[in-house]
Amino acid sequence: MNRHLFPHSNNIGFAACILGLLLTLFAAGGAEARVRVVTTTEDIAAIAREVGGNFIEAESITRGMQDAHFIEAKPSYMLKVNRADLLIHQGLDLEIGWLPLLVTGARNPQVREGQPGSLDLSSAIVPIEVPTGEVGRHMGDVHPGGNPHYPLDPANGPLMAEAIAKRLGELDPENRAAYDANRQRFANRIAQKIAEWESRLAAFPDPVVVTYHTTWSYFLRRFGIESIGSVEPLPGVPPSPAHLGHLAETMKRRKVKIILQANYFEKRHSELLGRQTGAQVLALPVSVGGAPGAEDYFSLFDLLVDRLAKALSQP
Amino acid sequence: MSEFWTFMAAPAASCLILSVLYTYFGVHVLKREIIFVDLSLAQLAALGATTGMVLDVPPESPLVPLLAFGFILGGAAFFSTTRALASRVPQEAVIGIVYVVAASAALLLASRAPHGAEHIKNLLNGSVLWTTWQDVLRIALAGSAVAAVHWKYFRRFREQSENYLVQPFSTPDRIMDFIFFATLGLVIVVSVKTAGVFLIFTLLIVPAVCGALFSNSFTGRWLIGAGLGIATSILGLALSYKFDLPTGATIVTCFGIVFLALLPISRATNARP
Repeated sequence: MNRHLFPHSNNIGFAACILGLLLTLFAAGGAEARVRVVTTTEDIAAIAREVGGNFIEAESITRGMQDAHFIEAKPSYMLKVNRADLLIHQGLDLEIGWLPLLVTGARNPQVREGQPGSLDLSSAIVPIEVPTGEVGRHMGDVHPGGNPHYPLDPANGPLMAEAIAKRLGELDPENRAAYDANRQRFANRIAQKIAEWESRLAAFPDPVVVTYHTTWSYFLRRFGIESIGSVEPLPGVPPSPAHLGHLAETMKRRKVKIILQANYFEKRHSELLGRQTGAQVLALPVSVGGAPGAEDYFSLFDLLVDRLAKALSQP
Repeated sequence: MSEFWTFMAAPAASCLILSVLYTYFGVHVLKREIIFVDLSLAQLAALGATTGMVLDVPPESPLVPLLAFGFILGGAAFFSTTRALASRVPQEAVIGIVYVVAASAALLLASRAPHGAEHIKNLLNGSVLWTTWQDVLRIALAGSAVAAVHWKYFRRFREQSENYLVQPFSTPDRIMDFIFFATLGLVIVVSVKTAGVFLIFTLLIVPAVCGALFSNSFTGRWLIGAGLGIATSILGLALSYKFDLPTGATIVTCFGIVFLALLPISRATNARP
């Protein structure tokens, strides 16, 4: 299929061309022509693979060890999006700094916002930390729609899978049943694993941690872990010495033993705080592909729960 | 190859226009020995944009380039005034002071803003890859306005540049100086978001320097430099595309390599009597 070779993007003829080619593609049978899914994060790609199985190929734009807020523009991103049948993003303004530019640059009308080839997964979940009242930069990098790090609650996994299965079924009706069956199997397995993870962490009464950024909110809420403060005074704002001093006092009083942070943030602030308070800095992957061992959505949580449980069990 | 042009036509078009414009200014700037003036002006533009960010101005608002241009005009007025001190203080020293102070002030402002560090990094690196036809149009319009002014006073600016370091200072001279900095500033404001501070400095200096290696005349330097600038930036775009590298940094590195490659060639040609 040479759909991506048409240089003119903005005319109706091109759209008709795409549509015509798509129709022939589906008419020819979806079995050999796999749906090309491009996602903004590896979490979404991992879940899409669970749902799509052999009928799709899923590729992520960002790597798991990258902060999806910011990426350096590279030509291959445009090629990927240009060839995509379905572009899935995490939404809630996570990719606001680059995705609109990327979609414009990629010249693929099919995946523009509002088109069937564009899916905002945040519509499938219930966001937390939705700010009330007027939002301004003085509040830090607050996302008006709520905290965008929702894949870190494993209970959101099945909701994401459901939205992906529904959209894949619309784009590729022939395999709708398969997508639905895969989604169901994924949901069952997640439910079983959540019980396992919860029981492992339940061994520690009233666990408290300090986090670096609001990355962890969904995860901590799921497993009943309390965060008594964050290294960043406001989301996205690096700490001042006064803020760190204050936080160190609180940590000593509450006997906090763990500073939890995403492994792509710089560690020097957390390490300074760790030296002052004796707490351990846990720099962990926050996405599939974020570290060796976190190869899919399940092993990501296996790794997180394991590392956290080990840190909590230390005296 | 057709794919390359699908994605890279707009970035290539902007590199083409900017090569011609910046090489022209570059030839002037080299003669005047104020090499770092554009880093200084670009940093003032960045300070303006950062001020906008701290004041909660949305990034796509027209107020942002206006703020940036306002800061640049302030710098232009300052530079044309401090030239009066030229006998005791070299202009380059003043330019250096403005650069570091503007850069540090931007860092101070950004330190209180969420993701300020990334904002500063974006201003340095730019995002040539995301250049749209709208950006190209904006650069072309600003470029035409600047070209009109310089077409009218072509001789006047050239004489001023030739005698910049020796000429005594007069009021009309100071006005021309201000117009020179203001027009350069306008080009910087419309291009800093896509090209970034590093690429702008490269486009200003490297082609003009390469031109000076092979020609003594003003127009000769400009033509050679602009041609080299266009060719090198398109080479950079192509390499960035082929090897999937960040575009701005690839282009800047290509300019460095082209400069190094031309040095021995120019020595060989100049050695002949």
